[in-house]
Amino acid sequence: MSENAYFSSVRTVSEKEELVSALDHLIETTYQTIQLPWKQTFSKLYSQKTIQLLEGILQSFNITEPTSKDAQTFGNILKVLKTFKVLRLTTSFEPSEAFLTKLHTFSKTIYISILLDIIVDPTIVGGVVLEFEGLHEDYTLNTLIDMAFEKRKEEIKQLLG
Amino acid sequence: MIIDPLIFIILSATSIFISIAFFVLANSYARVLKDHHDKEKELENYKKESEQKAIQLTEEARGKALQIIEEAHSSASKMLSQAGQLSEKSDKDSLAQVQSMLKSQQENLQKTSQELLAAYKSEIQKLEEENINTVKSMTNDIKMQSVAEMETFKNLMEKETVDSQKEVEKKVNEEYQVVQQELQKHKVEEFGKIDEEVYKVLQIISKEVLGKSLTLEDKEEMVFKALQAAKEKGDLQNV
Repeated sequence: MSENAYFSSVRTVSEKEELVSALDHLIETTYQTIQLPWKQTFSKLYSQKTIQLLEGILQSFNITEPTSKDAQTFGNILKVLKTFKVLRLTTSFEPSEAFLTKLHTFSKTIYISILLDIIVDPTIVGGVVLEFEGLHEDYTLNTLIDMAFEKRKEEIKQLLG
Repeated sequence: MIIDPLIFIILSATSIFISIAFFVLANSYARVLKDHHDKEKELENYKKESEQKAIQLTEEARGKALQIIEEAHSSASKMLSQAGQLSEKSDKDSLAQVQSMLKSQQENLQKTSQELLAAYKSEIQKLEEENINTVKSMTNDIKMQSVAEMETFKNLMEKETVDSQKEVEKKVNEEYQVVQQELQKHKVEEFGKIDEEVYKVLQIISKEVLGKSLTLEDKEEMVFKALQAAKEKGDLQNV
């Protein structure tokens, strides 16, 4: 696994935030005198996804149980995570895990270190609103219907009248 | 049936105005009747006064006539007494002459008394006739004046009533036109609002129907294609 391979599984902002929280926690535990196996403690506090990500990171750096000398490594990982750009997608539905992965994979063709921030808004009917680094693009059905109605407003009113 | 509040107010105002006009008319008519009654009363009083005056004059004339007759009788008796006294002293011719003279004087006095009485009667009759004529003339004058006043009043009231009716009719028509225009305007506005509401409802329904007719796969495909389109446009790369 390449150095950045463990980041490829981090798809969304919420996943990144939990991972950052877990890494901070891991750094803290390395300085404690009495140490329990990390997985035993963390599995109660973090999601299965985050535990898997941590396992991948520790394996890629050949760490079985983190110690204080690994704190620097975790610090570096945190710095890298902060450099990720965020692509915000507003959709009308909660995306499935598979679709989330598909979207993330495609998004990485736009920018390699990218995270998705998914916002669900049923009022947009269908399509998506894209927000990326100040760019705002509206591809929603709601807007398309509004535009179609506005364009043929008089025609529709005549039909109603 | 629902009456428009504005028309109701106009009709109410018209009724009040017509009521006031009729009240004024009735009041004026009562005043004219009262004047007429007062004048009739005045005429009656004048008649009574004239009759009393005529009676008084007759009484006075009769009194004066009686006084003259008494005086004549007294004078004749006196002369007869004097003649009696002379008869003893004078001769028969002188007595006859005196008696003839006394008879002639008595006859003259009677004739004068009758002429005077006739003159008084004639004067009283003339006065009565004059009074009757005056009363008749006054009655006619009062009657004619009352009729003329009533006619003038009637014409005036007719004219006022007709003018008022025309004015009210004109005002009601004008207000009706304004209300009609406002109603028409309101109708157009309301229909416009309804059209707008229906248009919005149709828009919302279209969205809901379209949203419900899309499957999850359709929605996923739309999102993915939008992302692809944005990438192809190059907007995301240029950031």
